[in-house]
Amino acid sequence: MQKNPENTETAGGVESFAKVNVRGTVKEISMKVLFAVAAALFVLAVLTICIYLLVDAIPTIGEIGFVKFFTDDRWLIRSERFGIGSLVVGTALSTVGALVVGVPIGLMTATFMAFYCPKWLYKIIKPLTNILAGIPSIVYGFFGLTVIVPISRELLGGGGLNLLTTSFVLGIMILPTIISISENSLRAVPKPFYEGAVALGATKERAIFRTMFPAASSGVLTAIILGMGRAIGETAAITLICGNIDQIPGSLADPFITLASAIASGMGYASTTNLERPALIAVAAVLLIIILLITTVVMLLKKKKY
Amino acid sequence: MKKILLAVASTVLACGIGVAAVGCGSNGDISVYNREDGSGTRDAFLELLGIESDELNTGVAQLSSTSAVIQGVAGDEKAIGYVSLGSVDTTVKALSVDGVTPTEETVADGSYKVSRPFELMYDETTLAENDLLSEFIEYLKSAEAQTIIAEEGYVSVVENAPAYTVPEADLSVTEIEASGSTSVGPLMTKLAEDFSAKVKDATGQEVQVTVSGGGSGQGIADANAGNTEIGMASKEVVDGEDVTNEDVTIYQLCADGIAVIVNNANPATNITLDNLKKVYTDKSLNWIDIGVEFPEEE
Repeated sequence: MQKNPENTETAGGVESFAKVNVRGTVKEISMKVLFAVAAALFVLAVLTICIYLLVDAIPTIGEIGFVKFFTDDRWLIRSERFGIGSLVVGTALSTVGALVVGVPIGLMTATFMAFYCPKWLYKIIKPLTNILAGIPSIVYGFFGLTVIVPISRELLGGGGLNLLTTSFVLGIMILPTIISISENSLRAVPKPFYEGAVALGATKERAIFRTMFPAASSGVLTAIILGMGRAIGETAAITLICGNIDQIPGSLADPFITLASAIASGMGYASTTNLERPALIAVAAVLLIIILLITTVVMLLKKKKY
Repeated sequence: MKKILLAVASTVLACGIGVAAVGCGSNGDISVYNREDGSGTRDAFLELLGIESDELNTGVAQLSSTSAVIQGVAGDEKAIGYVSLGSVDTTVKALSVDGVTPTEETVADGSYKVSRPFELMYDETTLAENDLLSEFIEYLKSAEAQTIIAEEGYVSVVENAPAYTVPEADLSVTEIEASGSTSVGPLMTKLAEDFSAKVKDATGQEVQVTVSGGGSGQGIADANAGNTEIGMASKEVVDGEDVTNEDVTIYQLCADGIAVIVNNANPATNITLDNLKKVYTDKSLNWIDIGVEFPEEE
């Protein structure tokens, strides 16, 4: 960077603050400290959460018994049955279900928005995806409970609070994440890729799906994985519509339970004097570890260009 | 990339549909609704039916509020659920159990089976010496206490309760303890808070009724041994059998009734206690197995 004394106030590069007059220096140093403090607070918050959860969880899991914690088939905290198997499976199944619903719709919508959508329509669709992202999750839960549950009850019988209902609602909830990230990464692919493909005789569809998508693959994968992260951690909506039954669902019509909903529904009663609350914290730690793994994968993917 | 995704998606979908097709049919058609693990209503229901929590048919949903259970049962023709008697509304139908309709009267006199008394035990000699205890017991028998009991969804067993008269002078004892049933505990805490507030308003004195747990057995033992001023039990306490100390008096605070609710479209009006227990332990049961025949659709 070139050092230009006249331009320090505006171009105010962090590297050039030492060279300027005193007034500017004080101002810049104090701002620099302020930003550093803000960043430190944020880092501290993240570290505190991680360390608090892990420090609390590890002895608890030890006390419950590592093997029992992962293999006991029941989650009945009142009867000291702390088996998270059905919780993990429930979380995994509902996440897969959400991806089955959300990924095709999301990617097709992103393709439409990036390549086919007329400008006037884009002006309507784009804000709509933002609105979808901004709706509080408990509202999705109510939507599921009042609209999807009765339909699911008609179709599959039973209570309507089941894997199918939850997958569907979760699938809608992860749409905004998938749409906006994959649309951005499709748009970030340089135009010549597309033009080159068309120039070589490819149809528009071929150019999009054989050239643009592979070029944007890391962005698209990031979109899917972030959507997955949302589905795994989703709590408020799921607690209302999953049924909260600690069983591995045998069919789409069966109720189930997830890690997050087990914490939410157990917290109201859990006693601190025995293992009930510590067990919930241990579940939270498991959830945190899963989300951390996913974030790491996203970070690795981000190293690619688009 | 696309192919892999497509392959994964279609495999999962195929598996899902396959499992869904196979999975159906192994369960009965009764949609069993439960409260979540830890709920007082659930604990009481299981205890009254003699069901261990790991043999419970968890059914189609474990919901975390009374209103959610009512809403679920109201929208599901084949449903059965349970809520405390006070919260039943017209959107669902409460069944008779063994031919007895759940009403405040049948709960109060114990003829309705899915109910239990909340009993208190205290020592008469302590009562004579301890003015805070006698004041509190007087409060528990008052109209104010009955209002709170009803508000909390329990059934008052005291008729024409007198209004509570607050003490005029400071009490000599400022702290007593009630121990025992964790089912009675939350109600007792509410009553104790209201009582302390009333005493403070009248005399400015801070008095405290500490409520601790331990279970009904502990409550009976504490009352017998005089460990705490009040013992609490959420089951019938028999004088001379459970209560061995001759000075100990048993006082029924109120009754707790649980209504068994079904959808309004359900033709049943009665269920036997045995069948109720079967429904809540046997997943494969159908309505027809317990003699309830739904009218054919169309």
